[in-house]
Amino acid sequence: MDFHIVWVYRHLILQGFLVTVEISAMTIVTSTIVGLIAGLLKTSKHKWLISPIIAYVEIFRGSPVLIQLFMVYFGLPYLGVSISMFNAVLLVFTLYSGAYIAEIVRAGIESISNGQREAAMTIGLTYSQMMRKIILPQALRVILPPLFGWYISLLKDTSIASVIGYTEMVFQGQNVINMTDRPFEVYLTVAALYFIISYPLSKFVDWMERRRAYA
Amino acid sequence: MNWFTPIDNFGFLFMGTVNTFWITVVSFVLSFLFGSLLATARYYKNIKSTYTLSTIYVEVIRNTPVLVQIYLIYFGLAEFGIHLIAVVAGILALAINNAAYLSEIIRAGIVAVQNGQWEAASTLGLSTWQILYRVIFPQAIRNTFPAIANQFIAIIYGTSLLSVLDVRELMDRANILNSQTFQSMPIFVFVTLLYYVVSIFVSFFLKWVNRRYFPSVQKG
Repeated sequence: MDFHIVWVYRHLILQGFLVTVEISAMTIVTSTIVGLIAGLLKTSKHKWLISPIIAYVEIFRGSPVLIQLFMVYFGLPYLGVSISMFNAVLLVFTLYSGAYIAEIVRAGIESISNGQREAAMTIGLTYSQMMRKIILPQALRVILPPLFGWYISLLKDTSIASVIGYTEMVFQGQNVINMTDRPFEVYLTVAALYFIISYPLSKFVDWMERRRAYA
Repeated sequence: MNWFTPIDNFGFLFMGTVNTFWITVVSFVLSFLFGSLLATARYYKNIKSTYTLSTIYVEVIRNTPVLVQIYLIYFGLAEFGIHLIAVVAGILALAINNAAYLSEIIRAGIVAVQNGQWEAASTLGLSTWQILYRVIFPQAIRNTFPAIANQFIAIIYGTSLLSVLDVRELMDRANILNSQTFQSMPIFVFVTLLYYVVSIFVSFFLKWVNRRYFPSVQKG
């Protein structure tokens, strides 16, 4: 084993690391917005409105993210829509992660007892007031631990974007391997870098869950 | 543009689906056995050596991407002269990965079994192994069956990553068909739906297994 070779190419791996953090942070923001909206719509009463939302959530939670990436990145140009790799990755991970977050949000909202909803309606709050002031603040305690757990999964899933050639950490690792022929050392380093971000986050999630258990 | 390409080549894609399915089943069985061992090791906190080792294993595996684990086992081990066939490396990687997740689920199931069950079983004179195997585990699995079923379906999606090793599963077949016909959108939409249909069928089947073999008991 020779980790010196990894140190020589550290700038490439570091660059990949930053791209991984960047795409993860961006998709966390965009997919949380998409997931929140989809989750709220799923709990609303308008059946005609929610059937496309249900179809969206079902398909994106019901298939591997890899095939979704291929569908968008190779499929859209086939239909005559050109899409850059960055936009394809951002779009797919937003939709994929948004579908999972929608379910987390829906489960959180549905965990709040109906009495809260009825009481809010009785005192004359509008739907948006009720959601903002009564339901969501309570649902948030249920939503946050699985939501942060999902962010960790998302961070690790962004590695899959390397398969279509997006230059995040795994892809840069493969570049280094092509130059050095040291797959074990490089992949171990890449894994360690994922661990460094993911482990503290997972401990934070554990802490949130424990706190909720006693609250 | 030919939207019938995937249907014309359904036999080809179907063989991939069959491979995806058996790879999933083998990976699941291996990860379930290994995960049960890990869960037991994590449950007995007073046995320091196995507890520490299993905890490190679970944390390391759960906090690194499965794709990197696949590459490490296939390409990384080759550096030390361990050349695995792609499908073996893939199954091993999926089993190693999912064992960590399953162990956490099963451990939660063991913790949820009431203390009275342990006491009653040991009063009957069962050995520790018998208690675990015959009394605690069946209840732990019943308690966590939906989560275990979800993990099974997660493995179906995980097998798509084995296409990077050219394992001939569904994703790989879709890629091959795409490079032969260039009908990207029809093929990938069809295969996405195929994955969805497979996962729906599997989830219905697992719900039936749950009702049939792990009926919930009246708690009183």
